[in-house]
Amino acid sequence: MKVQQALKGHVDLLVLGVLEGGPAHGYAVIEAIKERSRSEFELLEGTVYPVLHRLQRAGLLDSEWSEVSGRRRRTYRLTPAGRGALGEQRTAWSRFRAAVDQVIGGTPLPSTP
Amino acid sequence: MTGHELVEEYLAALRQQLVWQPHGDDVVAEVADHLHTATDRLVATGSDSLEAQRRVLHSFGDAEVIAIAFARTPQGGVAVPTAATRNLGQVGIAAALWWLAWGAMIFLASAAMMVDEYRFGDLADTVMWSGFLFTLVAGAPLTHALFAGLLIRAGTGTRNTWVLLVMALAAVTAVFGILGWARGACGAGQARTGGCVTCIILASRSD
Repeated sequence: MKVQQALKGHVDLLVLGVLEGGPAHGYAVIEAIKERSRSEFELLEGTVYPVLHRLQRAGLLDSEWSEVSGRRRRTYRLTPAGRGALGEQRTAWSRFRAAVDQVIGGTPLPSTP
Repeated sequence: MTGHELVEEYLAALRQQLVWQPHGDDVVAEVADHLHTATDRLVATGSDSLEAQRRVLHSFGDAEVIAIAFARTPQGGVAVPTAATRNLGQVGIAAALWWLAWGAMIFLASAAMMVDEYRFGDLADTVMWSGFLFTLVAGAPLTHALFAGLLIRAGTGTRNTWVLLVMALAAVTAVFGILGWARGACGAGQARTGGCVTCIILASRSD
């Protein structure tokens, strides 16, 4: 199964889902996605940052800078709009998954005249 | 100095790629935090520093790829150039210079023919014909590369866009080929102005 192909278009949902658990910086978000997917989702890590920036511009995330070990660190958090978007995307995903399960569930076809 | 030389080299390359990116310094700072944190973690688990940096950079992706990913992210209408688009910009300049040169060649050849067709006719025809051939093999592809660069820069290129560009290039080549054939059919010296359309008209009248 080409998991990486199936992942396309769902990265937003994954990022929003991780950040629902609390604020995190980019590295932590990526590590959480890897860990929760049991390393099934091997994203090209650098491409997650444009996604984070896009979600922030869309008002779904907020971010703030801090200094950790002498380095600047950007931490992202969900906005109320982001929580709403996550809820909608979750519902859409559940419907999609249920529909796919129905189709590939192995139910015999009705006999045709 | 962090002792992560490969990471520092990568960050320098990324900084160069994102030189026109709004908030480019913030992006580099964010990436730096990621790369150093990931490297430190691997080193803490016993990896060699150099090997850890290589693995981290491999997982993160090539600087050019990341810069393009940022460029394709909508910036509120602000186009974001990358090294690739800057290179294509140079191609665009070359294309513009070519069209100007070709226009000048046609003008000069036509002027020479008007002054003394008997003396300059063959030379002018050779110049215009050569210019036409070079336009076919160089000018048109350069112009298409320019359009491709503009699309990449704007972050609006899709697979259909590229298909259309290739089809347009094929169409332009075909049209130029037909016009060139018609010009050849006119015979040297008949096309006083050097215009291919004129050649077609002349060719059709002679039938």
